[in-house]
Amino acid sequence: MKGLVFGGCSFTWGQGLYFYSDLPRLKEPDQPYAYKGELVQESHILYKETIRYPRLVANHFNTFETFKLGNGGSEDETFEFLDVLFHKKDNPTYGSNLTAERMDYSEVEYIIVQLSQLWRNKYYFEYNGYRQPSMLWPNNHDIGHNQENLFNWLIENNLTFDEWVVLHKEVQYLRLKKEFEFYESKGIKCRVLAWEDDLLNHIFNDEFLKERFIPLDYNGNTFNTIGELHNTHKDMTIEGDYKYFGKKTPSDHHPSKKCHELIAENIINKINKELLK
Amino acid sequence: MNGIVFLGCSFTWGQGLYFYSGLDTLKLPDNEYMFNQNEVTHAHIMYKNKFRFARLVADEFKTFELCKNINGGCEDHSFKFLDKLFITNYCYDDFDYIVLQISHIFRNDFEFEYNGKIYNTNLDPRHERNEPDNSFYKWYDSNNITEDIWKDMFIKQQVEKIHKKIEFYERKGIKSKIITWQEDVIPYIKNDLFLNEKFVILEYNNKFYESISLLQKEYQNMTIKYDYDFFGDNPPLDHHPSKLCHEVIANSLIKSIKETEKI
Repeated sequence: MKGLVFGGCSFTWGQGLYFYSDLPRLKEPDQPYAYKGELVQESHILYKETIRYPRLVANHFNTFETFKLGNGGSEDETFEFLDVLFHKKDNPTYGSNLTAERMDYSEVEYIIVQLSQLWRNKYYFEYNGYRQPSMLWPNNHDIGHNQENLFNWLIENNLTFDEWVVLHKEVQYLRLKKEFEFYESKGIKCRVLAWEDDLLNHIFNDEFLKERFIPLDYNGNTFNTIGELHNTHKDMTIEGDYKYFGKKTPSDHHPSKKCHELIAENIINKINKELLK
Repeated sequence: MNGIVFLGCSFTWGQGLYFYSGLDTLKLPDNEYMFNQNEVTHAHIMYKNKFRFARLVADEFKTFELCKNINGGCEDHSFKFLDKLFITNYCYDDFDYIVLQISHIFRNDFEFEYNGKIYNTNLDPRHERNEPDNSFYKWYDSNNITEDIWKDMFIKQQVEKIHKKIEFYERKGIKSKIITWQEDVIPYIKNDLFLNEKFVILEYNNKFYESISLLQKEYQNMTIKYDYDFFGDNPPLDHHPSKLCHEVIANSLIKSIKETEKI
């Protein structure tokens, strides 16, 4: 099999997996959602790469994997990473925060995207004569990037905040589909899994995306999102992994080692089923 | 187990392993001694990283490996790389093992004293004297050094350097394993009890090989350019260790580490 390219956020990057090592200088973040790069050493980064699900999947198929450099992110960043990876050969320093690598379509078999929190993606609108981005969260809609102009734009266009929520999801769904169609047209198979459920209705109502979606099967149950799995099985998060860490678990809500193994297993099963067809 | 640092030359880097990937972007070399970095893509690099012995050993012990990004080199370069790790991003406790693959020993610098002054050189008296006025030749001629004497002095000096470095890192809690590409260094390693304990003999088909070169001499499929088993009639023109050879090296190192760790 050719290479595997992974897209995603801190869940795919493997935040917190270094707590499973015996390495020195491990320090917990102040709170489970925080990430402080200065607390994470080079050796921690190399270790977590060996047990995160991209490596587990690649090892199974005897191939190599790649993921963007930095921790965190959104689909905006995932698709920018893919753009840099495949389309910036003539500009080797471009997007160096995302990757220093460049690839040909022919070197990659699969792109596997883990959707993060949808609201991390920017929403673009035209106001005061220019196209501008905003970033707002539905449960926190009075705070966000450029909310004042967005709200003015909503009023001008007779739209409510709830209608904007629908619009934003639609834009994200269409972008996901368009990007997947593009890379599939280049011979790369695309697959998607999700942390949260914001796009699930769109995905399940679209045959193209539905057949590319990877649900997570565990103990005879199917979970459509990593979040749903985490809510049901606390040991799938690092902070809930008492079995491994004992009573005092690291303060980190990211997927546990077991969760990475489970995600890998489900991706492997999906690909294996396709290979058998 | 914590991390493993691998030190070596193109044999450790995994030169040529990308030819096993079958990727469309591969370009066959014109000459087995040439390495054109521009023809090696990031995908080729990631592929060879996956199949080189460093990753195979690290995977077995469920840990990470660290190798130089730059292809080639010698022990002098390897130890510079190693020393630099600990003044930048790593601490000694990040690693449990150093695996040193000794390269072509005469790639290193030779230290000599002439007229009360210490010099370092990479000049080789077996080659044509392009810099006849160099102090090295003056030292060589005035002391009636022969090729054999020079070789003996060179290897002794190099083995002493290796001994000092390995001993330093052992004191920091990092254990070592040593393998060699070529044979000329072997008697000197065997004469050094401390280094000999760390020397790993390669094992394949229930036979033992003291160097990668001896293994390659006995089995043609241990070299990429003779790996007809994998490539058929036209293997790529590359004299580096084959995928199978990396597996043999990895298995021998794994066995030796397991013996040390009593696993």
